[in-house]
Amino acid sequence: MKSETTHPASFRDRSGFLFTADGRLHRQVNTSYKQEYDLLIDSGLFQALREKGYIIPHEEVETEQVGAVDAYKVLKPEPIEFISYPYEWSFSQLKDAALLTLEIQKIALDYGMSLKDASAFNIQFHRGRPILIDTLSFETYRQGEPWVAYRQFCQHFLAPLALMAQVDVRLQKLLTGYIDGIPIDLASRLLPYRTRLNFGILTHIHLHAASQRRFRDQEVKRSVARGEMNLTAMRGLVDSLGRTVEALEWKPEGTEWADYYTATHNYADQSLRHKVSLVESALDRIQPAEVWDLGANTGIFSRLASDREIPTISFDIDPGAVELNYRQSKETEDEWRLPLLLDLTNPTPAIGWNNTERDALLQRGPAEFVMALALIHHLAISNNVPMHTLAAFFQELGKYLLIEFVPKSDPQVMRLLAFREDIFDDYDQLTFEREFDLYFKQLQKDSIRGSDRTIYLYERKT
Amino acid sequence: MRYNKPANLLLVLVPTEVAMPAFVPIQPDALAFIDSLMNSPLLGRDLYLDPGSGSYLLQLLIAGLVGSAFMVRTFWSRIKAFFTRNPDEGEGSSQSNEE
Repeated sequence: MKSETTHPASFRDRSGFLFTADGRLHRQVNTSYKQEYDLLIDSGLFQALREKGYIIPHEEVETEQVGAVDAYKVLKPEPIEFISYPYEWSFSQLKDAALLTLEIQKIALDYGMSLKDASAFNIQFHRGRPILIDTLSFETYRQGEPWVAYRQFCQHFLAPLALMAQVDVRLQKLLTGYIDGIPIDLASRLLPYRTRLNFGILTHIHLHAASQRRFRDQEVKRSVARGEMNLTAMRGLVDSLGRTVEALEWKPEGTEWADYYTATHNYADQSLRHKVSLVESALDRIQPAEVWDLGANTGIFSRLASDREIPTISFDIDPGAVELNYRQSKETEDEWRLPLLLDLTNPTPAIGWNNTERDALLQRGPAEFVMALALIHHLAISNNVPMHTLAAFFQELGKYLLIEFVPKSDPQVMRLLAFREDIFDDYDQLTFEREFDLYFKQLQKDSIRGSDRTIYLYERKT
Repeated sequence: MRYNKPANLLLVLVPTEVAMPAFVPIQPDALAFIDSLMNSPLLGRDLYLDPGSGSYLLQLLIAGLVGSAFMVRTFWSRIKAFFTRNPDEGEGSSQSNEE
């Protein structure tokens, strides 16, 4: 086998690792994990989880050994279309990932196993649903031992969800700074006093933080701790975490985001219908294998792509929009649309050890087809990005670009300029075309009926 | 411990609400006060200590509580299930509560 590369994020777990061979991701199971892996398969746990769609399916493949560690098995998992991270998920996406983790732990206990990791990075969204991608997360359950992944679950899921629900949804951003989840003591400090009246948050966050403080400089003998937490208590713990997570709610309604969605859109119906038909004909003409919809709002135009069974990433800067988009996609069981949170003016960075554990947004591209509808004025005017920089940026993002130019005469742009000096001399259609023509070949250009806006279909110049 | 640090650095390190006393001319006892804050668990982090032991022990501390709450709940849902149509649809895991 040629061109094998081990995945840079795959070094913490000694049970195995990920590598790419022949363009496909593989997972090696090390000999040291043989017993646990056999139990996972022989106990029927893997089968049970697979039938429910909770764990990524794989096939065992014959292959030469990779690296120095003894290989027991090599797995070829079903590929995930797009890797996303907890700091890009909406509230409900993070909540669903949390509940899935607990559900898997419940089932694992029934089969005499337990999760040794409860990392949010082990969950991905695949065909519209959260799924566990780390097949090597299980260990034999030992009667009497507490849940080894308890703290990680609280840091990766409970703390951010509680902060988002009880303080401010934007505190999710802390997850970019803390790759192993939000420290419990930090969450405890930030949560309002009234959360001490919530039994789950009191126990799993506030008392948890106090316990960490209390025992931080004391040596704890393992023998003292062993044999005191029986299976019922373990189930009770998982149940209690589940109830706590379940009770956390965040709704975009009733917040500052609310009127944005109830307000009528900026188009006359005729314009909207025309815009829809232009997007549809561009999709039908190119028939892309994947679409990135930037500034997707609640995903109206993403749906045109996902309805065509094209894997579509539906990005927006607004947590409320992403939340509504996810709820709608979940309700309609849309397998092809993945709503994600993204600030294009400050895209997801690469984080972790050596800056290679979690990829930046651009490292996960380029996409075949990029949509940037009603977006350019936000980048050019709200964020002062010059036109030539924009054109170069979009060229990096994808092969085809469907972009809407919104001129200064448009009511939305007038709103942006209402309280600021118009320093944007280069923001006009001629400059736009000149700059984008440097990087792209124009395939199509249409004015949207009943508006001053224009939609361009471009193909990247190589 | 962070002795011998200039006072303005202390201002940076101490959260605003507790840094306020340091705006007045610093008295020796004020310095001691700030020092005690620096050694508080929130600030004076010792990098060799793992918060893992606290997480581990908390579970043992609450084990009885969450365990019995869970038992009561499971028991109650079975009673409810007995009087409703589908006795099998009890809440909670059905497989191994008898263990």
